[in-house]
Amino acid sequence: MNAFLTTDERLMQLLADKATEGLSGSQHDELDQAMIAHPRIARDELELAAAAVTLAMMGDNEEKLPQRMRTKLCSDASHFVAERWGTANAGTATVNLVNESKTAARRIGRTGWLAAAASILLAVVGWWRGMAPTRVESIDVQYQQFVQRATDMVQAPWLPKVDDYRGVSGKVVWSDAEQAGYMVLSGLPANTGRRQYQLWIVDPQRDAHPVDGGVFDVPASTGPITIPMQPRLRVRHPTVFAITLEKEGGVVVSGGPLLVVASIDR
Amino acid sequence: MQPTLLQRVAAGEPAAVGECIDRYGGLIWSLARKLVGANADAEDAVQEVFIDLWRSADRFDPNVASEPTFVAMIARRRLIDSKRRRTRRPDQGQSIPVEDVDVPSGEQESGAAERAEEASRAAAAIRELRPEQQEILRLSVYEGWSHQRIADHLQVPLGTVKTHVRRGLIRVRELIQRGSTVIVDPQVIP
Repeated sequence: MNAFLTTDERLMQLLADKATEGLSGSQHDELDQAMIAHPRIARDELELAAAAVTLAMMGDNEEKLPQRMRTKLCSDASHFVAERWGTANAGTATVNLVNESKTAARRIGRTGWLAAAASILLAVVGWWRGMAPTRVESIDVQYQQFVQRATDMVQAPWLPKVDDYRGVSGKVVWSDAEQAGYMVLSGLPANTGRRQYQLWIVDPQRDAHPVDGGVFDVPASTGPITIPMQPRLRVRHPTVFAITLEKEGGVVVSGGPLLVVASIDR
Repeated sequence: MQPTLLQRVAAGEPAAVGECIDRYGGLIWSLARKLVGANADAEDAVQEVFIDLWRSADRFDPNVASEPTFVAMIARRRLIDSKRRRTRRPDQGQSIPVEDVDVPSGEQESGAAERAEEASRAAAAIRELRPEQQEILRLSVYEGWSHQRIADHLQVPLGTVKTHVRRGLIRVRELIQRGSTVIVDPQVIP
């Protein structure tokens, strides 16, 4: 139908398509070209119109955010704040949420609220301080329970990718069903300065981009360490786990290099 | 004038980041359920929307749109991208557990007035559209149907659906922002 539209109409059609269905790569390129000739038209004009239509049609039919989803978002908020403004502020993002939820406490009962609050607190601590590695002997029970419980568990050895990490060994174990796993690492040098190790999980079925698996510290002069993994975003069938060394708090997109990698043969 | 929530995020106020969850969580969750579906993908998409929203906070301009409209736009954009990305690969989907408990909050209520005002203006604009335009906009924008699906459902040519969506959105934008810069689609002019 492009042949029947004027240039102006085609531009507006692309903006309307963008606002309702999204654009393909070639359509994005076409829009970029068309926008050059119409500098007075904002790229998001019709997206704002579609947003207003959405609000009008939604009216009072807005669903409540599920508690479990809210807890996840609180964790994300802490991570975002730590990344943007430093770890010292990370707790601030969710403190107010905890304080203002007295109504929620009445609604879901004491046990439920305590569980929710504990989840939020764990999430904040988890991202504020980074995932705290535990010596093998102190987490061995949980790890062994996981190994015995997770019937779909897969595992792969850590393989060094750069010379300075040739001494690293260990393995990663993972359960798709539990969306959790453990890293067992030996010989990983202690992170120093304002740097932290960051885990990345690659799931080709989910996305081309790796999922952020969180940051963690490795203390000096430690033996083998076992670190639980619970990525914030759902992964389906991860095939590669990788560790990078990043600025404190982690990054959204890593510039690498990959230090050690564990590839799961599925 | 008091800074809006997103302006506080942009200004570097950490507490405002968390407050966004209670003010806009219900809206974004509802949009995700509409546009992405009732599966685990919706949860991932909601997380992506919020991260995008926090990062985009400095682009919010209250002179261009209300904050709820801006939030809905960011959410829709991310959810549409997410839907396109996910429909390109087979996906069995996974049901979201239903044991979750709703969490009411004052923040959600405090944003309601602004949202209601914007929605009221948009609703008035929609009422000025022809019935068939209203229906196609509803299916496309609110229900998240593809243009092709609408064409098949209404048994009209795909080009007709696209034209109605385009003209409908342009008209709504004009009516909402009457007095400011107006987009002109030559076909809308009598």
